Amino acid sequence: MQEHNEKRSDQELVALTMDNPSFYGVLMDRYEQRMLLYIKRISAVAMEEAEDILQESFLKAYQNLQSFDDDLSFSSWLYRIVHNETISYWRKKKIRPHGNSIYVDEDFLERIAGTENIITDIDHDHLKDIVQKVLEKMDDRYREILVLKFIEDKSYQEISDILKKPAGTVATHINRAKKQFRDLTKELNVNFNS
Amino acid sequence: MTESKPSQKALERILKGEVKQKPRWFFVVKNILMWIFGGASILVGALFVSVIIYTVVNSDMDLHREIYGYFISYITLCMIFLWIFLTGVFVILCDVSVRHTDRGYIYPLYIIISIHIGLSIIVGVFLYAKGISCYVDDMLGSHMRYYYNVNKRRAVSFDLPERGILMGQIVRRNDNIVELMSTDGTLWVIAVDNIPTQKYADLQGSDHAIFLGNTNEKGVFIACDVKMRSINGMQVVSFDFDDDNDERLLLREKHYEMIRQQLNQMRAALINPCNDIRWRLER
Repeated sequence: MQEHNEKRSDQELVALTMDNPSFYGVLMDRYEQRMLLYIKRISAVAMEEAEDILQESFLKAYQNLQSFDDDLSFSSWLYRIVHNETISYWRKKKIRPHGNSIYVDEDFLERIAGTENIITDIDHDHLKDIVQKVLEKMDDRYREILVLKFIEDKSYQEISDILKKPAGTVATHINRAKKQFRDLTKELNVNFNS
Repeated sequence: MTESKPSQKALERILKGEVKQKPRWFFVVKNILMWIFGGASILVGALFVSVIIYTVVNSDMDLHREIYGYFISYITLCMIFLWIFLTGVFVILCDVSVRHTDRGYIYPLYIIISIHIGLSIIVGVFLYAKGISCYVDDMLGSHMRYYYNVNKRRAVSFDLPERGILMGQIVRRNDNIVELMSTDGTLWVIAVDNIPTQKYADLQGSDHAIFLGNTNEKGVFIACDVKMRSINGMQVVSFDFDDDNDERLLLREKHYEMIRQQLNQMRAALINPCNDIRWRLER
């Protein structure tokens, strides 16, 4: 039965959830890990906080399930809710907690280094440290869009749906985010391949 | 370990009935209300545009130029800028409401602004042509003390019978005689034989007008020109200061000359806008 449910599309599961909330569990399982990583990539929250944010996001998504538009992908819709919930939590916490930083995993590091042509012969741990510092220095909106584009691998249209911004604005913000990333990296004396 | 998973915690709360789905109609109504609000803000913007047109058409630039020597009065400018500012506020409100609809975020800001301004102008011209802007301007003027509508501005600037300008509401028209109630409540008898022929037909009861002329020894105001308030015409209403084809030109020129001499005396004291404003406030 569980195997059968896992083969169902998101849209099918949403439709089934309307009558039987148990199906919502399958949807949540499907996105749990991805969303936890996303929360940690755009905010420097501890794991417990990320889990709380995610739980609240799942509940909010369930409450608003009737507003889900079939023209959107469920993934984009859920990203939007998780994104808003994270930003709202992040802004409420005026003082950033000590000991927590933006989560940079191997995947993240490889992609961002590749995208921005950072010379990768520098020490791996040092590079990770630099990327972490740069991301924390970046404007929130640029960091978010960089994560969505280069780490979550979202298309312009999907980012437009997640952030509720026109596609043209998304493109402009991505360019500005890349520029800011490059500028901040240069400030830390990291070279780029031309 | 698995019990601490956010998805399981959330599912438990859902199955216990602690969290319920909002009904579909709630979102449908919210979406419709946002579109209605966006549409309403365009209508309000159109109303403001129509009042801007009405204010510009009735700005009395020609008379201001003749009397005060500068292009447009300070108060007229203030009123126009007030309406432009309010139109801008409603453009922003329209943008906000459209962005709160389901897919409103896909429209770039410039598209929303262009559509809002375009529709406001089209509908605004229509509202002006229907005389709605005149009604709004009159209503605001009568209910808001510090709102200087067209009539109040004219009363402040042009109710100067001793200097050859008379402003007020026409209460009766009888052949070549017009009765006019000035802003201080005085009933004036005006002889309109000498006004330009094409303007004679425009004289209508119950509307506001500015007459140029002179008061004779019997207290009758001999008019040489008139300017009616434009309620829905697209042409800026003006006096015929440069008309040299009229058969009554000589007589009118005589009146004009007299008025100009009197106005020149005023102009000397009112050479800059600050003096003008001070003068009007003192009145």
